[in-house]
Amino acid sequence: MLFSSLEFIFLFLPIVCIPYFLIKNIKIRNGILILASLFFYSFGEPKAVVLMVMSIVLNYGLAVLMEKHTSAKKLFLTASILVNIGLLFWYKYTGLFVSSINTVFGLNIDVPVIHLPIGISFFTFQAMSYIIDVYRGDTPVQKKLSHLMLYISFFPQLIAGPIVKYHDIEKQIYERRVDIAKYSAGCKRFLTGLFKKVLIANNAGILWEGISGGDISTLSLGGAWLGAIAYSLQIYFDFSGYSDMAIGLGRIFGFEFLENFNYPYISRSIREFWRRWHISLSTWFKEYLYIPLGGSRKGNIRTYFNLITVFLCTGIWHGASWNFVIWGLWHGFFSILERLGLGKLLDKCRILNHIYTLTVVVIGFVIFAITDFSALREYLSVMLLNSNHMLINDSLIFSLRCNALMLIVAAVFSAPLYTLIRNKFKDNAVYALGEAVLFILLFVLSIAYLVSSAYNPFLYFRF
Amino acid sequence: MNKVISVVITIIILVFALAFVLMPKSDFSENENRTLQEFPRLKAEDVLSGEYMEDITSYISDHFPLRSGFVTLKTLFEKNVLGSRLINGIYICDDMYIEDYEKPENTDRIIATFNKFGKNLGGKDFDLMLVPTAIEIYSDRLPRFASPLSQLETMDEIYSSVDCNNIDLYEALVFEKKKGRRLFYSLDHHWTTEGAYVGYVTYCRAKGFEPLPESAFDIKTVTEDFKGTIYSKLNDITLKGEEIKVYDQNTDLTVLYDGEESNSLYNYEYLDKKDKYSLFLNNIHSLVEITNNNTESTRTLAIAKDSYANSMIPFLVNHYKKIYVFDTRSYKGAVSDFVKENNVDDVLILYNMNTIDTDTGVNVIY
Repeated sequence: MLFSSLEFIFLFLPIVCIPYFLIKNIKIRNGILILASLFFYSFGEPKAVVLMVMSIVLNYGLAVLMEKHTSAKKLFLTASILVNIGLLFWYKYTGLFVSSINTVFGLNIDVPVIHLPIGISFFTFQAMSYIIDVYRGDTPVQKKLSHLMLYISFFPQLIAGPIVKYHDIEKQIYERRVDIAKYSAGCKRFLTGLFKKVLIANNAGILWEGISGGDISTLSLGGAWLGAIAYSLQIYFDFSGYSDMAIGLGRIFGFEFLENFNYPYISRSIREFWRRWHISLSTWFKEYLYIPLGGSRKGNIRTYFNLITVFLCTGIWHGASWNFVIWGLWHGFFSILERLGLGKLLDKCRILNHIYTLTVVVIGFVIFAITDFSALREYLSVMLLNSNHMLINDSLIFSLRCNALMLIVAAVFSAPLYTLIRNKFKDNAVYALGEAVLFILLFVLSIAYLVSSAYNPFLYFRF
Repeated sequence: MNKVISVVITIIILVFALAFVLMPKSDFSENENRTLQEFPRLKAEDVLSGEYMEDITSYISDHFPLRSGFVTLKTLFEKNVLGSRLINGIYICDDMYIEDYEKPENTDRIIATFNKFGKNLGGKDFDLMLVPTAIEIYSDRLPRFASPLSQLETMDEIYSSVDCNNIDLYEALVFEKKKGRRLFYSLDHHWTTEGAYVGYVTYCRAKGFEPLPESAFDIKTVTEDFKGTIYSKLNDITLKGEEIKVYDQNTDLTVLYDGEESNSLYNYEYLDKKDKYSLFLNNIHSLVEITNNNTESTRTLAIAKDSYANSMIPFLVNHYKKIYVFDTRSYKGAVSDFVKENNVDDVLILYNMNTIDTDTGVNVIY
């Protein structure tokens, strides 16, 4: 069940919210949220829900054991990490692993088809955050299984993040404020995310699919770039919109999650980009992988090794396909280059470093988007001046003409312009009224898009 | 003001949720021509496979309050605010609407099927008529810079790879269009009766028959309120319906629709429904057998086709004693066997280029 779906907004949410706000007891409230989360997960994963619950119980048990037998702390930590990584490996990477072995060694082992449970990359990472926090003594062990259950399975962040770290949220599980102000702020944040997802990301996605799925031999250079930009906008508005919806939902129920995106497309370097993009993942890797590896304190060579390791892991985390590895290394390569002096060089020219960063990011997302290598090579060659292709053609102009407004709005909202305006006028009554009207109109429009996506004229008399 | 927003949105959500629960549900959407999802029965296996939840999702979107109004809103927003000229696969042109042509995926399979059909006929010749549609014939009316795929390439590939007599309509349709005739509906994916007449004349020329002039028919406008499949895709309620013409004539016919006898090629009951094009040849039947009791001709014809043929067949009856019309999806036997067993003289395959690629009847034509 997606947040941007009719069943979530019009049925699931009211059914959860009404009892939640009528009952003031936090234990019962937590109970409602756990039940709602398990239902939410089983709606999409009726079988894997058992797997998730088992994984939570196991991590809970290992942490309790860790607390009891401090001498064997490391053993329980290792066991827990092995289980979590093992689960992730089995469900997500077995297919890729076997097919890669087949390619490298010329073997013919049957590639197993294993269903990938939604959100497994998120909940295993949250479980590891918990167990490592406890191991390090950053937080006390959680004595109540229900509290840990709520932390890991809480539906707003369960299937697409943000990856909430245990030490950031622990106290809110048993002590949080729930009131109309937070409810309202949460609603507004949820709506912002809904608009980003439904009105921008989905339409940018249609543009990208039209271009990348069309006939590549007639694609123009401009068209290829338009497609790449459309995909970059799609993935940002989709993902950050989803994070907005998650943060908003969390706030509705009284939780405060950390921000997950901070206008990544205004970055002036790849290093800055990663401080602004999917922040909960990059800080997860920083706290639980990069720093334990020694971070940047063990000399240059070791720092570069650590960086490459983190980017490699970040890449492969996004999906079981080699193009994600290349995408990770692509970013790692440029961030090392920046450390080696490119950064200083680019800092001399403000505009140039924006152009450089966006170019690397946009080409990176093409690598991210196209899993098939020969198709990827073909697409990139059109982007990078292939003399067989025109610079622009009619089809590019037509796409621009039909999508101009969407692209302009997307570009404006990729920068903090709107936030600046809002901060300036937030006490102005006319502005506030205008904003309220706009939110309600955009909500109705989003519903129109959601309803239309399931409207399929079936032309049965095309016999 | 945050509170105002959240309160209004909460009320909207609750009102729609309540309306969804309380409102009576219909089982059929005329606009979409399909049965709507029923509330699924709870079965353990369906829950475990996730099918139950998928059905629930479809149930909710199929019965959402004001559903059709929301589709209208989206179309009007895209057309008037975004200024888009391609909405839900329909090009918005100045004076008409044209359905987009999607990249064909099955051309090789279609060629192989037609050749197999020819082989099964045992050396007997057959005629193939592929109808280029509005997007090809009215390409000059498309919005500026629109550059859809050409149907002609695929059409020529099929024509040149299938061993049969080709009846190419392109030149004739373009010629008639230039005279200012409306050969395709603006709000439906079919050709008009005038378009079908061009098909008929071209067929006669190919077969060496003398086509009847238009003056031989009593041309009647049977409705001015036809809102077909293109209308359904847009659901733009500001659009007015268009007319359907019937070229009538006094011929004594016996028509067997799957064995049920009638004396008409038209079923005017469809004029009261949304799907008005179905009045031609009474919609879908696995076999329609038409006997002309007036003609001296002894020729017989078998047609395997899509719905484009339905408005052309009324012209053809003048040249045949008997016409057999097959819907290959539901006809149990093989058309080629029927042709051999009944010594049919002529065999015609007729499909339009826009839907031939996805037509499920083509696969089973032999």
